[in-house]
Amino acid sequence: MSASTANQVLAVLTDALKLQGRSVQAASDELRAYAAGQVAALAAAVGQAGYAEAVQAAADNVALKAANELIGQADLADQRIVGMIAGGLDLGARLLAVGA
Amino acid sequence: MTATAFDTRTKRGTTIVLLALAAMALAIFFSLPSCAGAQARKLAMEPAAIAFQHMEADILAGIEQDSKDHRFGDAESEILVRETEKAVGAALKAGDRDALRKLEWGVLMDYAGWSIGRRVQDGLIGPQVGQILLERVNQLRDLLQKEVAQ
Repeated sequence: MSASTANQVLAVLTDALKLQGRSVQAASDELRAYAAGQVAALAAAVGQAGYAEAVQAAADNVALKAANELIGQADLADQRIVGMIAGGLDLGARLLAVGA
Repeated sequence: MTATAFDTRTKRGTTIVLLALAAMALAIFFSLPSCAGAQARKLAMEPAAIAFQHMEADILAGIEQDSKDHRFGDAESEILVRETEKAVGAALKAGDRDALRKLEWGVLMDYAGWSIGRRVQDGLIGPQVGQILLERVNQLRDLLQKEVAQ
């Protein structure tokens, strides 16, 4: 695979993360490994019919994976907040019960 | 401590707790529309729309082939699937998650996957190329499931 294809996939990773307000350095190990996996898959597809289409798909894959990961992290953050609020309410209820 | 002083402290404590509870309830209320999950899903619509656009040829080829193979019961169902394809594309482009929830986008993902498999079988694309294209179908399916889940 040419260096330009690897750069193309890296550029997509950078764009996808930028869209989400993150940097490549802040990308998770999983996402970086996934991007590297896509580059390796492209290397295996060199010379096959539809290669240009595969380059575009690999770039889409990295962007979609980044988006999937972002949603997962956001859901986790929401769950933590909800947990904290629930904990606070529970504490308040206990205090009220003691005060009653 | 006198009974009166105790009552005053108890009342004050109860008020503070009630205020805290009210503040928490407000925090929940205001955080719902702008919670991190909803914002992330909004951001994810753009890559989803782009990927869907890139997959359109495979989806349409799948629908076309299905029609040729007479798998569709009638012309009406083919039109319905084609209309769904347009509606999903429009919903993704507009970032309209509510519209997306009502659409049978899973059928379109099946068509795309089926079409890619057929292209590999016919030698129109290489097997590794097919794998990368199928991965896009799977990633988009995952993302759309998350988009409509909340």
